[in-house]
Amino acid sequence: MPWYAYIALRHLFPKGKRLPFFTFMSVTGVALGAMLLVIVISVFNGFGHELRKVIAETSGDLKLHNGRIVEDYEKEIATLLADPRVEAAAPAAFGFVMLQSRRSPIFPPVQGIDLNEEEKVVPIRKYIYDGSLDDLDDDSVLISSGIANTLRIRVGDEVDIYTPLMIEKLKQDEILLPRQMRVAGVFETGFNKIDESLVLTSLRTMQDLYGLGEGVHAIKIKLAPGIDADQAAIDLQDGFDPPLRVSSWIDSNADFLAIIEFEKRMMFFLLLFIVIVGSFSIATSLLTAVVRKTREIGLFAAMGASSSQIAACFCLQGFAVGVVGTAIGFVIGFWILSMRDGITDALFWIIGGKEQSMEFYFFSRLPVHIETTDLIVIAVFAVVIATLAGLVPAMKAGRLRPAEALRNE
Amino acid sequence: MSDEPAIEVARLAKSYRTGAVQLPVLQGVDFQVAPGEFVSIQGESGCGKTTFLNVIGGLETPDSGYVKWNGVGLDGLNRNALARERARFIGIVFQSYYLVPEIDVLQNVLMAMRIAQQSSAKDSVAAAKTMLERVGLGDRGGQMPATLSGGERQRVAIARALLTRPRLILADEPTGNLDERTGNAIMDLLESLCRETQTALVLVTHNAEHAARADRQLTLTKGCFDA
Ligand SMILES: Nc1ncnc2c1ncn2[C@@H]1O[C@H](COP(=O)(O)OP(=O)(O)OP(=O)(O)O)[C@@H](O)[C@H]1O
Ligand SMILES: [Mg+2]
Repeated sequence: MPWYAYIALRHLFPKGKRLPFFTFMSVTGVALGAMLLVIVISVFNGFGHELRKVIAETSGDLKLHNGRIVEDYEKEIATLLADPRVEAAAPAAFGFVMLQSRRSPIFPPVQGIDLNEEEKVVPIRKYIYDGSLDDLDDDSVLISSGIANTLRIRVGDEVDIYTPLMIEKLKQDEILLPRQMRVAGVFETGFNKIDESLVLTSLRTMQDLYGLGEGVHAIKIKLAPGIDADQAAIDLQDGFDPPLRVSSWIDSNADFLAIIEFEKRMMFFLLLFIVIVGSFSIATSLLTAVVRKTREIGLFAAMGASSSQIAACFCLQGFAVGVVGTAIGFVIGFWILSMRDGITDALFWIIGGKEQSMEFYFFSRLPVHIETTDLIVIAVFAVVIATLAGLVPAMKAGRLRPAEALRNE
Repeated sequence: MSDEPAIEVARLAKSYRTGAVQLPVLQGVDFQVAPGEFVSIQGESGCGKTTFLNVIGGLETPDSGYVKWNGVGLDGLNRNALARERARFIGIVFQSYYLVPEIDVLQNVLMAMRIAQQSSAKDSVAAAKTMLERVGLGDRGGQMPATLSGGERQRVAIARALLTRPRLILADEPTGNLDERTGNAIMDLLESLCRETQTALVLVTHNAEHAARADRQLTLTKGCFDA
């Protein structure tokens, strides 16, 4: 070890003495910042990650579509299933309808699903908490819990469905007759966007209501476990000519995920200020140390130390505080994350309202996802800031003139 | 060993300016020390002895004149090169012992050697232990400086200065803070070690007895050595 690193180490951790106050305080400052960064960023990642999982589960990993109507979907499904990475594929048609029950209308999105194939892609049966998937036929619908609650509809009720096609016909002076449908079941996925408002019906009904003939709007794809969706989308595209496109469901929900990503960035910069404030204490303490140890610095110079070595001695102290503080912050951060269930329970016990909060965030426990790249970014920022804080005192020490330093009383 | 003088300075001038007042301290000093020679310098307090040591030790730049260590002129060297040369050629012993308080005695002895980057770590630890024995502190290597007496600290400082095998030791009143008996013992030690290792010694002292031991005695008055 070069002498200046050794002296830096001994300034921070003197042999046989108690830990100096300076070391304790500055390490604590950096550790607090690093800890909060790890916790908050990991929770934000958790939300994003959980959301992706829910999106993939409720919509399939990928979709094949051409922006209009896919006519010969059986052929495309066969092509898809030939790929070993594709576990299942199911056709779907999308649209909006007006749904009326007891004179109150709403305008939910509607999806037509293949009754035989859908279950292979989306575990729809598990979401239905009232009624049954087996009761769904060409004259019935499944509605989301949000619709059921706002319109106070129960399984077995009849609802009126109006489609845009009907309105077209109305313009040609035909008589407008709604399609009466029975509610076969109510579902809840846990993903707010879906649960708020969605109507499911059979593919055949949907083709009929929208005048699609034998066509569909998209093919939902479920990938084999462990396959990266983004890469698979690129690879699978090779099997299809434009305008047919393989894309990820994540893209369709990009706005949602972008908000979480944005909030994560904001939190990162806000919490970084804790590290910066902590580093001010590093800078002032080291400055005092330079003044206090002026004669020692002069002595090093008299023994032939160069000014850059003397500067390095103090800069390294900032660096070491940064490294140790970050390490401790990470350890405490991980520990708190691992204890999060107990901590959130305790918090809710104090402030109350666990059910509402959990419902609002649609997860049953605080989601956490630790991302290595984020950890690296946090560590680099914390260490760099602490080192920069050591730089000012270091330059002051390096600029001391040896003879004057030695005369210092 | 080369025949070059360990140190050679000529027409050395140095003055300090405080506000409008110019205080001339050194006024054209010529000075040489042969390899292994022992020179003592006396003079009234404030006459510029410490300033002189600082200038010839390369810690301060002279206003005019030159300093050569072993034939190498200092004014051609940049700051880093000067620091490197100083680490190799010069050992410094101060009046107040200036040990690093955070590290133990053995590490303090090793300090100058580490800065000079001489020899491997294992060799230098062995050499430092031998040197500590030579100054009579063989069993104190693990102690912290704060637990040593003044005389013991000065021994550590001497061991540290000699460990790098410098050509020249600059000692600024090394016994100034010690009682007479301890001072004499330190002086004996410093002289015998320097003679044994053929290290030149420039000793600034107020003690006439110590000064008289030197091969050559000089007195600094009004910025020059009396003939
Ligand atoms: N940095 C400085 N600025 C201004 N004046 C200085 C400075 N350093 C030294 N002096 C002056 O230069 C003169 C010589 O000082 P120096 O320390 O060399 O004396 P000295 O001979 O070593 O004295 P002593 O025997 O008391 O140690 C003194 O008058 C001192 O006040
Ligand atoms: Mg003096």
